[in-house]
Amino acid sequence: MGMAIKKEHTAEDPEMIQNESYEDRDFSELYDEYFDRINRYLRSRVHNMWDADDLTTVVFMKALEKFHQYDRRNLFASWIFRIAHNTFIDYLRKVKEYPMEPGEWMNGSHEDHDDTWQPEKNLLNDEQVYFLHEKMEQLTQDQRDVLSLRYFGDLKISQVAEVLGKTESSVKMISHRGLRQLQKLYEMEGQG
Amino acid sequence: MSGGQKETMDKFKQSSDVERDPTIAKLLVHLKTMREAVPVNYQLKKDLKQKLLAQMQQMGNVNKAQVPVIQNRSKRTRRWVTSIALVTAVIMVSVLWKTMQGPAVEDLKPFPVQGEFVDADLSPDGKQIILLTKESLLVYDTKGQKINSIPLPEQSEVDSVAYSPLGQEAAFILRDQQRSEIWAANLYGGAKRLIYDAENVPIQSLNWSSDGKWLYVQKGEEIWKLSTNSTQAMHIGQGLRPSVSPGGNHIAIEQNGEIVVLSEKEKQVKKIGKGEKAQWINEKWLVFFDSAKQDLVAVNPLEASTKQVPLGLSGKLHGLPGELHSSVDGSQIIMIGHENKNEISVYTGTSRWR
Repeated sequence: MGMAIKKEHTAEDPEMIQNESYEDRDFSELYDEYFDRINRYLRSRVHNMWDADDLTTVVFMKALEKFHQYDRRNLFASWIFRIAHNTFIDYLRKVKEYPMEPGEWMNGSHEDHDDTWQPEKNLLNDEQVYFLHEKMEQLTQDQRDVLSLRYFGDLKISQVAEVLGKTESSVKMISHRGLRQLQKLYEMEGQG
Repeated sequence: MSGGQKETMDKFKQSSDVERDPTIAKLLVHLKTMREAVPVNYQLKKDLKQKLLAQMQQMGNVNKAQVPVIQNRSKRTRRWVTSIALVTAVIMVSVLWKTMQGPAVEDLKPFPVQGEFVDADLSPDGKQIILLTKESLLVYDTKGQKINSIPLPEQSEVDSVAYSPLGQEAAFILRDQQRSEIWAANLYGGAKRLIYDAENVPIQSLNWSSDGKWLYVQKGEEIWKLSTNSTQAMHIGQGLRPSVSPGGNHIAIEQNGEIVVLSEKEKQVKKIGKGEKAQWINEKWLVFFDSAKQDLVAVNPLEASTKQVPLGLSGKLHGLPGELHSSVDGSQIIMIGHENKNEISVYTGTSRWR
């Protein structure tokens, strides 16, 4: 389903054909697989649901625009999450340029998006997600990036390292410190 | 070792000593639960996929158009030309896509049914229009075919009709010299029930909550929230013409000639701008009449900038644009035009609210 925008297999690049990790799925299949993870990741990072959904749209529009540049020898997850992470960073810069005034709210409602919405269950989860978001805000930027990509983007350490342009050992250390710090913050609130 | 066991072992090898620490393990389970608690916007997934497929189709057409011209070139040059053509097509589609962003009302045309109407509303599914006259409630399909007519009791005035979000009933207001009554009529059986009444204070402007359990009304110059199933009534505050957002979190009202949005939960108030007759279209967009522009404008109250987007309806109707009512999915609308104080005209149309 959908048009395949594929690089041509040619005799000039025998490695591409022989490499076991070569990604040969077309864009629409990759979209179907990665939309949920990207949307969830951005919704976990951006408090305003509509902004998160707008960013999701931007990510996939950019991905389609640049799909011809994607090297299929590399994992698609790292590539798309790099776009998502950079889009999020651009968004953060804009939000900092035009900060919300005190007294104005920046809310997003989950209510009209989830087909399986159960008010009581979602209220409890919403509170917990909000609490986690609050605690994550107390970590360093690097720790937030690594933990969000790891646990909300569901990426492996090697993929997180690729997205952030860091070494794997650096990502492990940041993740280690971030988790320890988060654990302490939960314990301080009596929720550890 | 099975595939599942291999995957578990790989993940274990990938995990750090921290993650293997049992005190952290609980936190990791919690993080996984939180990840799963973040809902995915499946409607966006579906809508965006259609747009991307359309874009890919166009890019494919551009590629096909280029092939005869580049057949005689070298492979390397062919790739460059194809890439440039693709990028150009994507940029053009992106520009077109961006110009299509934002709210818009289109295909406005007069509703074919004529008469002296006091008010009108569109059903939640966008397929029926209800018209309020002094004598009856009239239900039509959007092409003007009558579906039902429900006679009203004798009274001096009628005011406001509003479809229940559940689609089966409509609420309306009857007034005589001293008394105002809010009734709900079943549009298929015709049975009516009295929801609320008040002496010596006029009630006007009806707005249902999206679950059908509450009506927001203007009583005198105060906003009240009335239960549709019990005698419960809550005072919200001072203001005129309430409109509650579909999610129920925000109420738009008029205060001193300005549109103001209240958040019931957070107890916050935000001024939007000078205007009247605000209506929520969906959780994001609020539409109201800007008398300076003589036009309806749309605004996203939850954005910091509250930039107003004119809908460009001035001059397209007989009279000034009034209330705009949309279907739940935002694709169908009716517009009420005010030709003079006592007469309204009704228009149907389509809309988009990105």
